[in-house]
Amino acid sequence: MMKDITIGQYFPGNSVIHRMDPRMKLVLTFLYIIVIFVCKNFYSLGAMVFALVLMVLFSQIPVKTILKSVKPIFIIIVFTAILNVLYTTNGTILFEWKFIHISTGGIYTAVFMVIRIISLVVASSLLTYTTSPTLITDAIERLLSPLKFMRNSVHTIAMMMTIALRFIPTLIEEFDKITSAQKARGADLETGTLVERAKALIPIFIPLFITSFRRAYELAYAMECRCYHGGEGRTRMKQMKLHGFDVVGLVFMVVVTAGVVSLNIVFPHLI
Amino acid sequence: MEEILKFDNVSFSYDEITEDTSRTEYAIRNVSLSIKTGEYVAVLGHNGSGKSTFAKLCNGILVPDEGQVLVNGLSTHNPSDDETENLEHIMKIRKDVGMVFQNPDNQIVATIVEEDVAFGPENLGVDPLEIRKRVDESLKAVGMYEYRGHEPHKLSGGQKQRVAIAGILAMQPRCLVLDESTAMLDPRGRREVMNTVRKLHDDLGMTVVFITHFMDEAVTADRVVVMDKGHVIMDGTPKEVFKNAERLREVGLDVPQATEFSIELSKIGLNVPTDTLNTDECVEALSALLEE
Ligand SMILES: Nc1ncnc2c1ncn2[C@@H]1O[C@H](COP(=O)(O)OP(=O)(O)OP(=O)(O)O)[C@@H](O)[C@H]1O
Ligand SMILES: [Mg+2]
Repeated sequence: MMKDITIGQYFPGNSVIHRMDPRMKLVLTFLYIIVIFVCKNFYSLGAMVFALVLMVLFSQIPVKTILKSVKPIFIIIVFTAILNVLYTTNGTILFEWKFIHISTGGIYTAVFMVIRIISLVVASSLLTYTTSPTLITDAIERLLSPLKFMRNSVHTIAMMMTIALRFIPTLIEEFDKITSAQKARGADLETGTLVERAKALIPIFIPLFITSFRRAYELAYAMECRCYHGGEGRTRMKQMKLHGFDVVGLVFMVVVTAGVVSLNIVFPHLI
Repeated sequence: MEEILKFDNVSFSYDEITEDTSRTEYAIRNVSLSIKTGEYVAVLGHNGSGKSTFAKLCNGILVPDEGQVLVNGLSTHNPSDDETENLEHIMKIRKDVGMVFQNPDNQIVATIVEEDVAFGPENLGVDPLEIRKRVDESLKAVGMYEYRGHEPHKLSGGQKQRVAIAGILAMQPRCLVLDESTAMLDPRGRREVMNTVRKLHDDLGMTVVFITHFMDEAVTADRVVVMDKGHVIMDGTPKEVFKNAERLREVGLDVPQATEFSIELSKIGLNVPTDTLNTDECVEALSALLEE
């Protein structure tokens, strides 16, 4: 039941985007997200969408998969759209009823916000689709490693993130198993008041916690057996190297940013 | 042949050792044992007989309260008071004695198969190109090379366990300790793991310590060690050990079906050897009997 949740799902591949340096991808995605918020009108936003579409095409990830990433936040998108339609009242009024005013301005803003959110989600999904979680955490570790005074804690946090990502599917599976087991014993999870249903979850979460502790112990043993001793003296199989296309990516992003800023200046209005 | 692993009168207790040793509960008591390079040793024992404790003593996860464990001549006790020196020492030991546990889920660290296999050599500070080579070789050795880009949670139990073995192989150990690594698997997964371990032993000459409570898995070993209440009570070839069906039952163990069958036959007066280990030997003995 909870298996469909995709958190940082990775699709192995061999496209340019896959092969880009994870550090560069991380930085560029970050930059993209910032620039998306800098956009003030449809022209600059259009440029961003164009850039994103280009990236998606280069990544060779099927469009269907990309669209799936938007599905979980569908409700948020609808909600944002409705709020924006209702609260913006400039432009010509199209429809009026009691306290509801729908104006062209409201619709434009709503569309603008929706495009913005979708681009945001697609851009970050593109990062996780084309980069394995270990590489992402690894990239974060490497990007932050110049901060010498906290290098060890950076490694520890990156390791924790890797392990957390690794165990999410395992724990979800376990959750499903325990739920079925408790249901088989007559646990009623679907009916009753909210409080009752919350209480019914207790016999599921307690075993889940207990097994998690046991897992933690065993994993720690297994890691020690494989000579894990923190970040000191550790090497990496996957070296991170900047390639030609990483530089191309950076230049492209800088050009897009410059374009967005100038479009913002040239067109002061939303549309 | 040289000894890779030597237990020298080892005792270990999870409790605090007090003055009055008669009251301490030992998980391992006065065990002396040595395992030679290239041997395939099966360790049998009932629940709580100290098998896992034995395994953890092999690579310094636990250190003996009395006596010492030698890996390649190195004691698993800390050699000095200096932390970095101790760390280097224990890494040398753990690199040589690789350990595979029971639950495949709880020993895979990374989210991609090949990244998990790389974990050990990365910790050892091996050169990246060399790690790549080792990862490919280890995955090929366990027959999981095609799965190198997969996510571990999408593999079957047997496949996960083979990935775990590859993760150990990549450290290039001299000895492999498997603590009931087949216990959570279905028959097919068990066979996969057994065959893999067998192949590593036969082709690469890997020393194997195989802890199990499945008798049929112990039959193919060169040597069987039986533990009970922290003691080693039997140690010999499978034939020597399984002949003592009575004694094995006393400590809560079965004998392989074929052995049991021929023991029963000899009880009713038939002249069959009581040390048959598998169906083939049993059939052979019976047809010899029929020809007479
Ligand atoms: N962490 C621990 N703390 C205290 N006592 C322990 C601990 N682990 C094991 N023991 C005790 O040590 C004894 C030997 O346990 P051990 O786990 O070595 O047995 P085992 O042969 O591996 O059993 P099993 O077949 O169930 O895995 C048991 O009596 C057990 O209760
Ligand atoms: Mg055990």
